[in-house]
Amino acid sequence: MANLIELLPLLMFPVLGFFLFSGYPVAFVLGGVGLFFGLVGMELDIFNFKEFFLINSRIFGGVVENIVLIAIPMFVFMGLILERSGIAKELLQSLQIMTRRAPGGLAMSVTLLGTIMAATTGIIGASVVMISLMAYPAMLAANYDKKFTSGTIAAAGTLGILIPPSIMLVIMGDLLSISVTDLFMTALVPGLMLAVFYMIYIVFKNYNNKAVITVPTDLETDLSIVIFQGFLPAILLIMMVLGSIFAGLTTPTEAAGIGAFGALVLTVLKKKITWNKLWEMCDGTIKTSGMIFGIFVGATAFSYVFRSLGGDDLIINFMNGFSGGPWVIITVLMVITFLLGFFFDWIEITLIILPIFAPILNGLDLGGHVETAQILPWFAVLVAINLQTSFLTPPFGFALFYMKGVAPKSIKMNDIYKGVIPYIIIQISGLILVMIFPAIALWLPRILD
Amino acid sequence: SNDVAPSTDEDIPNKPVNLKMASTYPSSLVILGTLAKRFESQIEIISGGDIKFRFFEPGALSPPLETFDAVSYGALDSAWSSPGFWSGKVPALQTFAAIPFGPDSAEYMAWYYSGGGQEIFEDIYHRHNIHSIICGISPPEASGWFKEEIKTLEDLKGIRMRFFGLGARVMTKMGVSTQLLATGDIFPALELGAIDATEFSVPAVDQKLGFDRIAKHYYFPGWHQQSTFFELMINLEKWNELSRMQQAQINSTCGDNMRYGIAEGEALQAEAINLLKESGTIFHVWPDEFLNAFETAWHEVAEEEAAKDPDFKRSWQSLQEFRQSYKTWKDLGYIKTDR
Amino acid sequence: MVILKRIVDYILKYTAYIGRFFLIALMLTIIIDVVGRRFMNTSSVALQELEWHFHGALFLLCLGFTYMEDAHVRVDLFREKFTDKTNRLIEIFGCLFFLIPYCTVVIYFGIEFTLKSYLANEVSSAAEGLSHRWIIKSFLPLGFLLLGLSAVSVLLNKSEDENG
Ligand code: NA
Ligand code: NA
Repeated sequence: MANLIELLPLLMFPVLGFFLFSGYPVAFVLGGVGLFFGLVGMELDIFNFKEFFLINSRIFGGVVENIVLIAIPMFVFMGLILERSGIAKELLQSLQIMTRRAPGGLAMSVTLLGTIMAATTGIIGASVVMISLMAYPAMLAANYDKKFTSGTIAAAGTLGILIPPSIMLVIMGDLLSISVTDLFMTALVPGLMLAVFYMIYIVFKNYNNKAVITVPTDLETDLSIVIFQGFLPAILLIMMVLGSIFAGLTTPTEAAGIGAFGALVLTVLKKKITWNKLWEMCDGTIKTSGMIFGIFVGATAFSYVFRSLGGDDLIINFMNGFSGGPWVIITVLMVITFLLGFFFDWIEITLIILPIFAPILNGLDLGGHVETAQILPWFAVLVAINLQTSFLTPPFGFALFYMKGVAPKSIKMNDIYKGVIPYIIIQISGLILVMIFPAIALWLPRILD
Repeated sequence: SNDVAPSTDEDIPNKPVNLKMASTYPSSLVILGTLAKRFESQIEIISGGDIKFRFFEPGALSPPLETFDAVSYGALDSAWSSPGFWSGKVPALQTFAAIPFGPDSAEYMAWYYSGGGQEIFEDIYHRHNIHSIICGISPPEASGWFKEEIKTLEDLKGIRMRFFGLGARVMTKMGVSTQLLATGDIFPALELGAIDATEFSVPAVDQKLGFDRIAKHYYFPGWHQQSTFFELMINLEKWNELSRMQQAQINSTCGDNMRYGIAEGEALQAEAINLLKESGTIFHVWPDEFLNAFETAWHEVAEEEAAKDPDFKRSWQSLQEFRQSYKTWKDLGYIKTDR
Repeated sequence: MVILKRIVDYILKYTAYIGRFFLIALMLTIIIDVVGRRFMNTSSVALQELEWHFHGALFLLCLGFTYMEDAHVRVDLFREKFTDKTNRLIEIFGCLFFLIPYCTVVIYFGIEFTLKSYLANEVSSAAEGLSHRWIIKSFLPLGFLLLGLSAVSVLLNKSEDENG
């Protein structure tokens, strides 16, 4: 019996999965299942009713008070302004014209946009929603199929967590007691490498794709007009956001606010706004924020109960059950991280695994494959790539939920689930490459030292 | 003396306990976090497996700054932190964490254990349904990392610096624009120039986190934190349910943690400083002019705080009186360092 | 019943309109903070705290409105294959056994949480931060009360469908 009680947290996953597919809102399924298992824990005397108090503490301390998350409503607002005013459409159309000779030019532009956006924030909710708002209508209008469009946007939107600056890398540095600057440098090349892989896949996939409209014919007439009216203003805006970060004017979080304000000013300058439209943009932002934070709040209740019932210990015992050479250990750690990614958010995963992984890794001898001093940063990047992937893996890919929340009604969860599969394969290939060739990650910090 | 504090007249029978311990510091941080992990493993050995604490990383069960309320309410059994975190709830507790221009570890412990500090501390905590035990200590912190050298007091004006607690009030009086950034925001903010300076911890911790890559000027002494206390907060009802032996085991393990914190804390810094020097960090010592200005500002701040809060006044006065009388001995018994 | 639903919807809609205000205020506060800090050397701790106050109030007030507008994400893999009746039953089941209990627990402890802050007269832990922490904390129970109300609105809606 005692053993069965210890296994209780594991039971949370199938129950969660079952109700998830019922079609009831994800946010409330998370919260409800968490609550239910807390009550079961009370019956079994391993949970105390008072412990639910911490759900409030977690919402307040982890979500409300978390300055970094301010980026979400701001970037969502910026994305909505750009979309509703038509500026996003003009930008992507001009990108489409400029890249018309490349197969899948528009899709590549979206990936490029994601890579650029990645440098502004590492907050997945913000970047995925913003890119979805801007790119979905344009890509669907250009006849890209729903699955490919969804996958491309999801992958581009999650790059932000890998490409510095990234809050995830900061927290990982904190938990592993390693330098964040080093970690930023270590993650940069692998992040860019993945972006390049995405683009190669896009070219490959669209090489003979006759269905995709590469250039809207009515727009091809005057390239300079397209560039000056569609491309430059929006690019200047994005550069302003990036610039304010790199010039040290603002933190990445504040840059989101600057971006929203800039987008609003641009809309006013282009005379594309009315009061009604502004309220519409506000309400859209409010609903999208409600959607994203609903998931945050539900997820924090779920993972809290999981942990409080001893879920961490289950995972730790499971990991300690493995023995073998260093490569076996590293592979097992990677697989566990990947599996956890099916259900948890990166922050919960890093809190479970990193403190346990660090001592294991510190004692590892990789026979010169990676210098002992560099095992931790190298491994951190492996985990980071893995966690970026976790945003994409069904059923619980948070990036997929956020996309679904703002995608056109014609997009079904199934399109998104299927569309990300090629990108997940790319991610895993990238991960394996960095494992085999550590220099991909370690080269840059080494030459900068 | 005060080491063993029986909470009830009749002893409660020994029964094994499992307590969750949420931490405000990650376990990887030297002293700040490792002392908690040390307590976790030592108490299990010393109690013969009777008392088990389970350490949770910051945010794993509870966000760091929420642990006080949660322990008080009984949602958490216990938490590892520093009393300085509770400035917004119980300002007086800041006097049990670190005091600008305050005592070194020996003098601080003398006041706490034998000079009346502990009684005030426990009295305040019991009112919040918490029994807290001072369970760790660290050596002087560094005064902070600055991107530009500070040559005159005038240079401090307009600097944007991340600073925490009582020291922040002092810096504000010096014209520094202090802000409290979330731990995760400090690094990018300093790197990208949204702030010009930050204080964080002792050299051994700062070195590991690599602040030297972004800011070259490292200032000493850490006038704002000459020694820092860490605490183990236990829900008062949970504490009262423990037997006398178990309470004594916890107290003794914490006492041993203090010994360990001092020894390790003092021993580790030199190596970290050498590593930092090798990597090009420029070490500075604040000239007397600065320290005097900081100290004057600090006395104003302390007066203001004491005027606002009776508990603050109580512990502040107790400490002042103790230090006054202690000076008689210190001046006589110790070799002057500037001999 | 119809009047009750109308009242609930009205409350949800107008609290969400307050959210519009918080959104714009948040954006402007960031601008003022950045401009002030960069060009006028103003200290910004209070402004920074105001930012997360606005942010917290914004999303807490809007959780319920989002549900009323059916904008919370669903995994619709099977939803399309289910009959309307099944979907309606799922919605009613979810509201009764997931959402409403969940809101009840958060509201109950949220009141305790806010009360603790109020009684301790809690202020910011930063020297020049904002005081009166209980105000923003009270948005927690309030937000979940609104979310619970939205469940009531959805339930009334679904039972209406049943009758009609
Ligand atoms: Na990023
Ligand atoms: Na996932």
